[in-house]
Amino acid sequence: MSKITDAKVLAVYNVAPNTYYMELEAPDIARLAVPGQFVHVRCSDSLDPLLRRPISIHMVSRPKGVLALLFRVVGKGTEMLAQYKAGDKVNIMGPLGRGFTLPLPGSKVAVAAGGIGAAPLVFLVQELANLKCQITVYLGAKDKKSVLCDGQFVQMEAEVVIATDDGSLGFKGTVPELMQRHMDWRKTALTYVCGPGPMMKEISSMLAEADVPGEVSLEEKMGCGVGACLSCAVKISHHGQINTKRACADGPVFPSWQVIWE
Amino acid sequence: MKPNLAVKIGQLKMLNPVTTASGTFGYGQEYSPYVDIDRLGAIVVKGTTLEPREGNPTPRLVETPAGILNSIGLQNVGVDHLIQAYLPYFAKLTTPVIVNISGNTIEDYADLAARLDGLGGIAALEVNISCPNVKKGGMAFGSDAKTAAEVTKAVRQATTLPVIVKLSPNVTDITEIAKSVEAVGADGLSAINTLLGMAIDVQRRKPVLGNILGGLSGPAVKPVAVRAVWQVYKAVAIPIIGMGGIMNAADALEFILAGATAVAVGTANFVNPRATLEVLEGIENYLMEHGMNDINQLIGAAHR
Repeated sequence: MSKITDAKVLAVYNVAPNTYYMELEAPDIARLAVPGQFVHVRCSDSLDPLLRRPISIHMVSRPKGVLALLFRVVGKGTEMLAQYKAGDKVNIMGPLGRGFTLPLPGSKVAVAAGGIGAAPLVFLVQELANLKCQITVYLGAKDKKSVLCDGQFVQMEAEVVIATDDGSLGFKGTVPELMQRHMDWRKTALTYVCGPGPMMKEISSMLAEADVPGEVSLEEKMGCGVGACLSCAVKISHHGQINTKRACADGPVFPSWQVIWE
Repeated sequence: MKPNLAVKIGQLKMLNPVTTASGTFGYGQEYSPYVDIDRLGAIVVKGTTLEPREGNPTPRLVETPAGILNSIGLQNVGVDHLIQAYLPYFAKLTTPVIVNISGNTIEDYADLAARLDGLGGIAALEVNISCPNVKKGGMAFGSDAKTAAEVTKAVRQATTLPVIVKLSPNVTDITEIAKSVEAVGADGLSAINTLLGMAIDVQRRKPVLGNILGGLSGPAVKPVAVRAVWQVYKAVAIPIIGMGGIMNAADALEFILAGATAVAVGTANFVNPRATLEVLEGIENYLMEHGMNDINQLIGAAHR
């Protein structure tokens, strides 16, 4: 069950352009969280911006009761969040949403991350590594400076293949283009995707074509974060019937073949 | 001694004046991890129509200074599914559940009212004649005194439950509508629904919302809402549920002093899921600090 708490900020670091790592003391949430879930963060006490910001859970340490977030500054709310200092309190609700499905131990899996989409996939790869899975990570970013979490993935013994838009590190091109030239993901039990919409859409159709089951983590403008306000509507097809689902409560993770992309 | 907080909206008895604004609290259970629902005076659940509705295209939500614009478009499961899936949960609650109803035609409203009559677990109906986000019905009924009265009359005749009519602020004179629905048997009024608004993305040079227009709520609309309650209180004798930007107990007290018998917390639930209980506790503390023993003494006190 989801909790609401004033979590103590343990550390904040700027890790890449406009990208921040924040560590919070939140034992109740860390204990309950699974990969792919998020916390709903009150970035300030002010009325502008008014709403919370949904931020995916980047990592947890259950023994230490620590929850880590990795977020990009995209507007007023995240800008305020980046200003927090160690010792401050930040109000968070969570864990919220439905996370990724974990495979059988020892499975071959792939993970495709684009930009800040890498954030929740670190928590996922942590769990996949615990399950002794054989993991390939396709990691995309704008340029070398913006590549996120590559060290963490390597440390968890995943094979990491990098793509950058400008070719300053690894393959020059997008993650789908990189995957077109790669075989590993085609034989996986499950391929997980988190990144910009167009990237997830393209990879979803590649997965469907190769008959590989996938899971994508969707992003929509959220209000309540608990499934009440119906702002974050997404179209999901199930047995030929298209339904409106809530990204916050029915997702954010959905089967890649069920999403109706705009 | 604890002050009396109980209030009445027609035959609807509330243990305290704090309820929720329709559409901001789901069916109640979404907030049960954060709030003991039974401590609330009542809950008003999601707007319900005869048939299930898919709602409007996304984006459905955009923030504005101290507010939000939404264009959900009455997405809901439909009345049959509501009865089947949620009634057992409503019946287990001790707090009264108010169902908000919306239709395309006057007959739709009457049908919905009849369908929801005589079922355990539903304590009152809130008649939505003020939704700004649907093409047919909704606000169209609530911006004309004559059609507002026709809808209210049809619902009144179709149900034995207390009938609360939710008023739109998007009218020239809200008191005219209030008086017309009071005259045909409304037991109470909800004031106000959202203010029709819009936002434009300057970079894309396009409206932000998928539906173009949306309803504004949150602290930004509070002065408009307090004014509406003030005017309606002077115009009618039936009780008012005041709402519009209530974030805390001080906001709620403004509405009560303006003439609201009860108050509904809406947008604040998204910001602080415990807002309803904090408002309740704040009102109780205010009464004790001022040596008052009954909330009813405060209703409309600013008029006196």
